[in-house]
Amino acid sequence: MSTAHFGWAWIRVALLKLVAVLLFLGTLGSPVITAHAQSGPRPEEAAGKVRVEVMVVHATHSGRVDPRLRNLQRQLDHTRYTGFEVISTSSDSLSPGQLSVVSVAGGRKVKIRLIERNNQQARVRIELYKGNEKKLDTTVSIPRNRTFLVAGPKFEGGVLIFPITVTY
Amino acid sequence: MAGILKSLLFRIRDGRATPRELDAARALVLQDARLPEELRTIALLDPDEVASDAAGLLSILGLDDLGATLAAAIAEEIEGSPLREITIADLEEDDDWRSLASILREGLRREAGSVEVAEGVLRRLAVAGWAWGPILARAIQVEAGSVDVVDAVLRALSLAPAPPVAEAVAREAGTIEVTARVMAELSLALAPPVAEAVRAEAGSVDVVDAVLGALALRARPQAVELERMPSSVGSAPTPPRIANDRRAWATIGLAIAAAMLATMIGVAMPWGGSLEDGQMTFAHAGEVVVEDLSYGDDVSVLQTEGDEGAVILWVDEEA
Repeated sequence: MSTAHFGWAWIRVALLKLVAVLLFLGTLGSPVITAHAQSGPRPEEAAGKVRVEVMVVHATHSGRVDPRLRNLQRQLDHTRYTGFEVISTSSDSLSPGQLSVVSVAGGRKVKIRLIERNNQQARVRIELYKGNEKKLDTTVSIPRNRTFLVAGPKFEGGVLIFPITVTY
Repeated sequence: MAGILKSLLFRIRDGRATPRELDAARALVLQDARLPEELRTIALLDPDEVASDAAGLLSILGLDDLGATLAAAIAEEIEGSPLREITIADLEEDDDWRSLASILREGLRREAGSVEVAEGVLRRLAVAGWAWGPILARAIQVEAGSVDVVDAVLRALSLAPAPPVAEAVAREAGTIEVTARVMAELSLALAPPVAEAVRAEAGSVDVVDAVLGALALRARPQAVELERMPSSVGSAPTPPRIANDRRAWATIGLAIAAAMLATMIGVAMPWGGSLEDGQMTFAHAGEVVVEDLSYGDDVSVLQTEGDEGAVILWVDEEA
């Protein structure tokens, strides 16, 4: 066969193949994603859903830091809080339009509705209630697989922090 | 079904397929999970390229080894174009690069949870050559045997293998068997700009310091291509523009190198992840858009940043 048959598109094909293989190798190589590598695409990804995880963190002056929150602690070095403990975590797989309601210590609720998602980010509406009173209502575009922080509500000598993570 | 596609692709490649057979092949390609999704949607669409597309698909499916021929085609495409003179500016102007970068970015984001490393490395990496190509190809070949064509192409293009490196990274990633095997195949010396880029991106991640420390003991001057590389990112010279527009080959080679680098680093770094493993990756300013913000009368809201750049919406209920 003549080389004339092999145009630019074919070169692209070969290179895309390389990329695909490398990404595959990356899948095998990363501890973070090993579980997904073994089980195929995340269900959220396959179904167009977004896994929304809400952690409720109590920031205090106790000096005790949950190991899972070391990087959160570093973000808040400038505050007077030295203790960071997880009160609860919850997660839901949401399709666009679906709502997740998380009950939080102190009679609060966090409502999160997935508005839409694309390859780069998920757009979510976040509402924070104290009792029936809405304290906060906002819509945030959070990059894929990233955590957005809402913080500040007072609770038992400290404040509550809500790391909200979108994964897909 | 696979047999039918194989037969159709050979006929298309050889210019013997009827329009109906071409349509059938397109339909089969679209559904063939063995092919990367990005390829399925672009292959066999351009009437002028269907033969070459078919050849490429056959190779990807492991049904034909066209390495030497492809090498000749690539050599033809890049005729007279010195790959080492590709610059970051070239990449950014290249439509093919943008599409590939998007694929890389997406894959890395999905798998590693963070893409800044790849992008950051890429931004800082002055391209003085594509010395990594053969090594990467070899590593890939070891892991994914059916890609013989790539190695064949690289050999035919006479891209000389670079001298050794990466044992340090391999040591850090030693618990990951597959990666270690890939790393064992890597034999490149980490060039100063790469180390600079890694260091710049790595920041306070301890393991990278260890890796770089070990690399510093092993790094040694490389062959011609690496001698041309700037000793620091800031002083990178601006090489002359290449005349040949077909530069995405080198472009994508760089992308692959960047992706591989990011992947290797990702093995050892605690980036990405979810709440389950305690590795939150915070969204930073510039990544987050806060809109339609409203709050109660007794509340004030401040959008601020954490000490390491995380965006924080701080709610004060005692305003």
